[in-house]
Amino acid sequence: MGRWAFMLGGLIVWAVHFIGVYGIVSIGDVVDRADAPAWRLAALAFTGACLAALAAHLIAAIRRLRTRDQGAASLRFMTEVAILGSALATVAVLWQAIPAVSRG
Amino acid sequence: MISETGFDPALYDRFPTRGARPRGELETLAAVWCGPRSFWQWITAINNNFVGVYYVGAAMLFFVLAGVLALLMRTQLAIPLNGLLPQETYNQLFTVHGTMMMFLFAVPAVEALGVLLLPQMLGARDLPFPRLSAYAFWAYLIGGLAFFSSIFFGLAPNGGWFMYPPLTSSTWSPGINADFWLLGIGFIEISAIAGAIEIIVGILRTRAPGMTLDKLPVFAWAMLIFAGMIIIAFPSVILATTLMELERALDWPFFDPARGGDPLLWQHLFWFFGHPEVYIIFLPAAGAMSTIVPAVARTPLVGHRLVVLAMLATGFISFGVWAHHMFTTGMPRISTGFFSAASAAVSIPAGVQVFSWIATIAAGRMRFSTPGLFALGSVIIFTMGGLTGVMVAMVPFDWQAHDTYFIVAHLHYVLIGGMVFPLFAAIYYWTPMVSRRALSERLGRWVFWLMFAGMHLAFLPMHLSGLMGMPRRVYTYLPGRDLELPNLVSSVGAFVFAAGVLVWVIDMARSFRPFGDRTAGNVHDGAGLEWLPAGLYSVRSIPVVTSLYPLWDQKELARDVEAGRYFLPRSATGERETIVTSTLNAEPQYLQILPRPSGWPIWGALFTAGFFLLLTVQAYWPSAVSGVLAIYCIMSWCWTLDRRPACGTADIGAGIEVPTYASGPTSHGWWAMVITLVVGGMVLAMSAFSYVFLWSRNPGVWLPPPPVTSLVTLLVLDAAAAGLAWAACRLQRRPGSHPATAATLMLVLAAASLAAAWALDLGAWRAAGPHPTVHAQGAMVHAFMAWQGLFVAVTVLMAVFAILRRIAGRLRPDLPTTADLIALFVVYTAGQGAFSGLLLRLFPGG
Repeated sequence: MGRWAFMLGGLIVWAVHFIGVYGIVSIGDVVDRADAPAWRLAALAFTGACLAALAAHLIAAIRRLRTRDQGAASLRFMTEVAILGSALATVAVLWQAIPAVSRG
Repeated sequence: MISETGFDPALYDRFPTRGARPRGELETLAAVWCGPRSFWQWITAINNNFVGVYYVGAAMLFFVLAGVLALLMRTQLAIPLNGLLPQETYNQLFTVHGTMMMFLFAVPAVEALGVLLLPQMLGARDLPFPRLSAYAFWAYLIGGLAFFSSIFFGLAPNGGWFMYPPLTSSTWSPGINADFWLLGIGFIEISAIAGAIEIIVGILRTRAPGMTLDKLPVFAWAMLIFAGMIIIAFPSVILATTLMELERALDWPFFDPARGGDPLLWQHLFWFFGHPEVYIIFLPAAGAMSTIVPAVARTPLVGHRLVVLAMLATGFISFGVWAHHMFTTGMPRISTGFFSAASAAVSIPAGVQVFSWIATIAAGRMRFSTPGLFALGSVIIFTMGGLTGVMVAMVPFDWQAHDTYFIVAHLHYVLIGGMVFPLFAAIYYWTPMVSRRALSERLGRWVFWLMFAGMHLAFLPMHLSGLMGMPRRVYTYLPGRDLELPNLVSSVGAFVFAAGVLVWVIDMARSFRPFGDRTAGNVHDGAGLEWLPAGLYSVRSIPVVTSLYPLWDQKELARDVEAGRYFLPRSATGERETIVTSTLNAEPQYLQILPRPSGWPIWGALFTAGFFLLLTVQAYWPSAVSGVLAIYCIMSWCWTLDRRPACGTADIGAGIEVPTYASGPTSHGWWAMVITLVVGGMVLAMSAFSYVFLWSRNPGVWLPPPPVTSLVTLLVLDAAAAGLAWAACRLQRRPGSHPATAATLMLVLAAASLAAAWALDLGAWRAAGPHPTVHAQGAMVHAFMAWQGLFVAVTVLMAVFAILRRIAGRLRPDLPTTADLIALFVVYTAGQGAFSGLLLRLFPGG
């Protein structure tokens, strides 16, 4: 299970980020205004945390790829997918955070 | 190479074995896997070679029937103020058309394709739960036919395929039309979930040895993600339909704003399922495309890893776009911004796949055979639909186009390009695998061009009629608004498309000859294991896979497999069996004994369908009887599970011995139970979302919960149940009859503890006051109670089952699986009860 979670780590962070920012502004909508500065900042802070997690995951995956026995085909494949997923998720999280800084 | 399970990969070097196999071995294998000989045996067949064909056939039948409804609608709309169909009938037609296409055709068709293809593609003898496949198929067929038949009695649902309240509430939709949708779809989703469990366990645990994840066929990857998405998404619609039915039947106001409910809750729940549904449909079709395109282009898929990643990414992000169907509901602007961004982001993984197909076609030598044409047509149509998808992901544009024919055009481009054309490519591509004759290339080209031209004729003008302001779901329109020409062209296009489908039906009638002794074979030069020579037992021997394209790279594979020179060249135990392998490296772990055909799954499906259908027509007592009979059939079916062959181990080839029984996390049954509980967990998670959402709509008027002391009792009883179940598992494995009896008693006590916890919790809430018909808070609390009550009832049934098995001597130390699975269920139920108790009392609190 751990290996699957590692392979999907980047995508999981992407999903958590989406749910998180949606949840943060939804709470903001109940107690104040969804687009009030405080809630925007909270969404941005959460985005920063997710980006840090993605960076850590990406570095760990790259290290694992360098040290992994080349014969373990499944593990190598999973690590490569993890790296690609983390890279994609980094772009997606940045993209996803744009509404928090836009004036819209 | 690092081993995952302790299996020595050097053992693969023993294959292919040398020398001739013993005489009579193949004949015995064929006898064990023999096909049906009587009518009843055709009905009770469980082998994927039969159920898969039945399943695809039924899905295509529903496609044709729903298509006929579409033709009626297009005839009505061909000219303004046409009087062919009354308004009410038209409402029923578009509702049934959309519902059938989405629920009875699209999802089942791709699931059916998986059931049919996966065993051969993975090198398995069959999927691990063939009776579950049969149950899923019969439940789907009976439920689907009953649903479709409702239209002949004027009882068909009429609120559109997404059934928004308040239109579908009992106030505005009296009668049982909406109930047909709610109960029928809820029931059919159970069938889809059953199929998904089968597919996940099949792909992860029954692959041919050596088929590591990097060698897993891309279609299998797609089916794995597809099935995972069903497990996550479908519980949402099951919850939504249940809440709506509870509101209609018992007046629990989940969606009534006058009593604390909110119709937007339905939209959230429905689209949390509904948008992933689009990708649930698309991904297997994309997997088929990624299999067919390399075959017709005669070159490996460009960017295999990126395509797998793209499919995984699609699976994830599809759960973050549900509210883009709700841009016009008044959500906060920043929220719509997040959903708009996510919706646009989906185009990246979709684009990766499209560019991979284009690059593969460009890199190879494309054969424009019928599958090739359909694949190419799919790329064109899907890309066009994807581009309009990016347009409607932009909030200001969506405000203009929402609920117009532009959306109708967009969704048909996406679904026909993303699913229907790939499915037809798949049918033309894989028919030679199951039929004595391939389908006609000449007719196939007619099918393609008629469908391709008809599709554009029908749906391209709808973009214009939508932009000119024609709303969807209107049964007619006024003349003089420039809508006549686009509508007439659309109607002509629909009939051209239908002509293509008709030619396909003729082609099938002329050429499709399944269930024979031989097949047309690998006419498209495919690279997957499914093209190995096969019988009802799948492949003669299960190969060691060393390549992503085994038939292209392992030149002697077909000959050696057919000569029995690989794994399991015979029936090692005299039973139907398949090798269970590890999830990552596909290392052999044990030999699973597969069941023989039986009537119990079919009877179970029939009575389950009876329960739901009789409930729909408000025949409560017959429905209850049918429900009891369904439980009896399913328990009888389960009674034959958890068997251990006389031999503890078996030689699966070249002197390699594996156990013939496994329990705990190694066993396939444990995996199926865990996935089933994930479904339960998703319903719980979506219920929690619903609870918090409804509170957020009107927080001031919620009543305080019962005193915290009742929570302590609840938690203690739930913890006791979980502890007893865990201890029962440990005790069950000790030798002797006394520990087994004690373990059984502990399971019974665990069930009793859960029942007591539930009864006390319900009593506490009833005393506290929020009545289910007065306010949404009470309704939600009682919905939680009903859900937990269902699990407690199943636990009690399991306890009775355990007692009976202990009395019959089938619950003993060497057969621990039954107790393991019951314990797993009990522990989950206890956790669910504790979670519900904590949530309902502590949020929002008193």
